[in-house]
Amino acid sequence: MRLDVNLLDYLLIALYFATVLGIGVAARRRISSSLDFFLAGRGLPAWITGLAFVSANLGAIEILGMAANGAQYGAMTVHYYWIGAVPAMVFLGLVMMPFYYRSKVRSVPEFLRKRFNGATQLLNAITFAVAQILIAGVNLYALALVMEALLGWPLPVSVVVSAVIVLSYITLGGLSSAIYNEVLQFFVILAGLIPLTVLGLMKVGGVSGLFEKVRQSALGEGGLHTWAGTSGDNPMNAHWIGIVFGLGFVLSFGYWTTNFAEVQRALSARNTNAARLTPIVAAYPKIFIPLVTVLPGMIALVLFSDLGSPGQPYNNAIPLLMRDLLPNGVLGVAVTGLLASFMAGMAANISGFNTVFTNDIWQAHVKRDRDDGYYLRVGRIATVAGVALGVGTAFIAAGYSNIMNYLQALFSFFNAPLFATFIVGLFWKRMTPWAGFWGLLSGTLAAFVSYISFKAGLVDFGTELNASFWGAGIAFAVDVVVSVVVTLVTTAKPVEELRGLVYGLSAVDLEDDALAGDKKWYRSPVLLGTGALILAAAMYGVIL
Amino acid sequence: MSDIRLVIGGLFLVYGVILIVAGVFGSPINLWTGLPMAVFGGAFVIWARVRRI
Repeated sequence: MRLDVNLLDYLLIALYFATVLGIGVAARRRISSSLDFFLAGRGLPAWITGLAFVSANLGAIEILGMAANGAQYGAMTVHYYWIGAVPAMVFLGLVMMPFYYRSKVRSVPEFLRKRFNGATQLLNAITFAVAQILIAGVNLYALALVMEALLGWPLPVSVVVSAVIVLSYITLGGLSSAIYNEVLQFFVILAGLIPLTVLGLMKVGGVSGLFEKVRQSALGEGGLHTWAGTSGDNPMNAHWIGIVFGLGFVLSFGYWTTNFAEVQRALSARNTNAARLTPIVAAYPKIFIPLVTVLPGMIALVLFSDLGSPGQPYNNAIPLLMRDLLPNGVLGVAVTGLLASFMAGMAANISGFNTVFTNDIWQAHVKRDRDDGYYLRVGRIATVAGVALGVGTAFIAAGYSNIMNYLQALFSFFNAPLFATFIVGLFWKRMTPWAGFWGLLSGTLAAFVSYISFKAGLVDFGTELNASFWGAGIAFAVDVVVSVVVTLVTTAKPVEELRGLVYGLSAVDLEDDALAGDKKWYRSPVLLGTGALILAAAMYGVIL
Repeated sequence: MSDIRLVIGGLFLVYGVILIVAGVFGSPINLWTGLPMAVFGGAFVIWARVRRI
């Protein structure tokens, strides 16, 4: 399928990318140290880091994919938001962020070095760096596929053009320009998706018309419920226990609390309070995003009867609606939003990669004690190398798309063992440095082994979704068991070295970094966090 | 250019005006999308002007 884009649409697209490059050039002037480059100088307010936090995850794979899930599974898809994201985001802000932010680390692996040892840091840094490059490549390839399909650009041209745009704004402006672009992209994608959803709803006769037509579709009544069918038959074939513990606990806490590409946004906030508010501010838009992803997916299901057939994959749900509902003009805004969100996703991968490579691999284990300018240069070179490797991965993905699908599924629960190591290490001061290393290594291997045995047919978890619930659960359990066993036979760190890194051992020499106004109710993490949880639960009341 | 609010506001103002013009001479959907975008952009510019960093 091809979109009928004209000169007006291209004008809107061009204006956006001119702005993006302008932000990169402007941000460059303010970069004078490596802290500026990697953590935006730790000077951003919570509404910016919060929107960047939600945007870093709002890649086009997410948008097209969640609309596809909406068409395939119906209303149950909202579990990915209301139970699969919001509680973990609130937990990150309330419980974990004080440890991350106040320990002054620049990255998640650096926290692991402080709590455990250099080996644990290096292990996590390498797996993270490799994963980010592969995911960046997948993002780039998906972007090129969409540009080829919608605009008719040849695949290699799209890959190179988008890589050059991402490369230029990150090498110039570092994390600040990545974050500023994420905030801008957040609004542009909404400006494209909101008219699409409204026009779609008008076309199917409003919400009641949509529900009526979904009942008559292949999905049936099951497509209109979230929990009602989860002890028996439902479109996802998922049991409520799997949804609550698999998706709601292990998968989502693993992803949202330890994924550095996300956590980095909060580390760039201006003080502890703003860092804690970052994921909580992000939770509010996250609650409403299904209205412009899952809902259009369900609209597409009733408007296009061939959706889900081999010639018309579910991923086409949003592009089909764009083609049929949007006139030239708004169409350009929607295409801009999709392109921007692909690039933002890739930029988040690359900015996470360059920080971890420079800080946790190069500075910590290869060349120590150089001046700050040296590491700033390494960071810029790592950015170029990361994008080049991503382009290479994108071309490999073009040849072996199955391998890339497997990798993506694998990375979806890759963070579960890391979360186990964090949670045991944060709440059990006795946990030893080597328990951190061996627990993480065995948990990560367990994730690999369980997924490969599922793919090879050695064990049967049923669906891909259940395989990831089980894979994450097994990896989590193996990590905890190995951590406990190794702790019992190795020596712990002295308590003095764990101050500020373990729950209940506060650091003695920390100054209070609160700003005037942090005491106001609308800047209270506890109040806003509780509000987000209540709102997410209340949303289930609307569609049970 | 140091304030992101001005960049967001400016881009949405320009987008809004282009869509309003396209809407007046063509599809009303452009008009109804352009109007809120222009208002949103204007609000961001005013916010940035009133509460400077």
